Amino acid sequence: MTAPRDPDRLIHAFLHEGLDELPDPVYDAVRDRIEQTRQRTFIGPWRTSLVTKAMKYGLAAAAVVVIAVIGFQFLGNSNTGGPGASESAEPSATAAPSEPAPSVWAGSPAGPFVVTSADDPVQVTVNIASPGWVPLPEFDALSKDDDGLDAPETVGAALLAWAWPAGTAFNVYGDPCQWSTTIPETPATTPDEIAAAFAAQALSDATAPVDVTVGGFVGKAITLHVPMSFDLPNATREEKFGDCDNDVFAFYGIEGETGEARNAQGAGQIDELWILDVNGAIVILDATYSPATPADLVEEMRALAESATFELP
Amino acid sequence: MQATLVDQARRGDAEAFDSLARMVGDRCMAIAFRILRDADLAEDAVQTAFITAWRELRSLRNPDLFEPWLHRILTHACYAEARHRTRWAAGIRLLPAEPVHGLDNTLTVDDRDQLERALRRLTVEQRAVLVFHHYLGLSISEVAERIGIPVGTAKSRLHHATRAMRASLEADARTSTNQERMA
Repeated sequence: MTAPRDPDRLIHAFLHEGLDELPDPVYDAVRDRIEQTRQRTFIGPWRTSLVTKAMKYGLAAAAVVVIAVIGFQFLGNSNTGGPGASESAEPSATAAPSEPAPSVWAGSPAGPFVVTSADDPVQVTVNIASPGWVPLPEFDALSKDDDGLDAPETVGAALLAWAWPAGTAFNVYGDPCQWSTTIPETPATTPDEIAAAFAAQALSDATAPVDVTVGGFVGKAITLHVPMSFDLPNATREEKFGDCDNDVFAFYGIEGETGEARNAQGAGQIDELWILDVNGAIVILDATYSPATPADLVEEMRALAESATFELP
Repeated sequence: MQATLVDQARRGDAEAFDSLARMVGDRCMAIAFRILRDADLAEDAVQTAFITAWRELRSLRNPDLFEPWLHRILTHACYAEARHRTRWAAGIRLLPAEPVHGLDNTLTVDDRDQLERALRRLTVEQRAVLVFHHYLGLSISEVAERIGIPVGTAKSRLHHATRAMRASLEADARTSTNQERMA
């Protein structure tokens, strides 16, 4: 005769049996990996080649930024208008600002500020007209109100100023989720081609491209959206985009570079792009924000983008 | 202490993160092993969880919640490992090949065999709820919060998992009784 036994107690006891020690080699492997793994800012990840380059030239770039802030103290651009506006302006790398701005606001830069790195093919300078913008020199970007969250929750915004040399071929993926299998047969090389490819991109719900002029250089403006269907509360980016190739929602890549160049960070993310031809080089100003970003911050960022001036080395 | 290390690690201090990992690693391994029932997969899941945690650490707003946050990441890493195994593994071991620690005298060899089989028949999501409830001693609402699922879902998964485990034990008991009668 067997004494009656409590199944719940047996289950409980069984689940307390088993391995409970993580072997040392796992800690060592983790240590090795984190040494090579960058922690994300709320608007990352970024194009790999840029990060590598920025790390390599980090000190040099920082020095140039300091010099540039001083050197361009009284230089800027008075361009205004939304990303959909088509304006004509005389091409000029620099122009006098309407009124002098302070050089610094309580720890954040003010006035003309060089966003790009020293080794970029085009030097992009924006005029910071309000406090709170934080330089992210390793990413060629400025951010404001970084709250550590991703879209659709973040109230922050960031402006990326990325430049590529003349002749760069852009792979605008046919589908940003299935990006690895929708690489175009013919890459885009001009603002018109790049914008047209974005306009045809699945899932991005792109606006119609419009002509723009920024800093005297012409190009196309277009706005991309990340579908809210990717929103998963309390999930990491990988989980949110878990059904996409490499768990990444990628807008475009660069021919000859490994992987994707520009990824989305969350559902509902909005990216307003100004794609410009700067004497053959391509500059993409990317104003990225979330549905929760206040409208006045978005306006401020647009003004920042449209204040851009460009210099070729 | 842990919150201080989290704070340092959030600022990019790899040494601090290493200390943090060593502080919570054994418990993570215990959880992952109990969910996945395989030491190699569990090690991989823990490693993946640590790397993800390092990369996403800046998004953790409250350093005091590091471990619950890590457990959620670990759970998802376990799901991924289980999916990977399902996709690629040709055969599945039914009996644990790993050395077992902390043996409980109330469990017979048959109990262990039946429970192991029953556990492996559960979905990885059901196993996770069972482990967080029984091994970590969390209430249903705490399990739901820890894994990031609705309370109703956690309750349903626990119900189905427990019922399956009980059924396996009862079936074993019936078989034993029948064998005794026939002997």
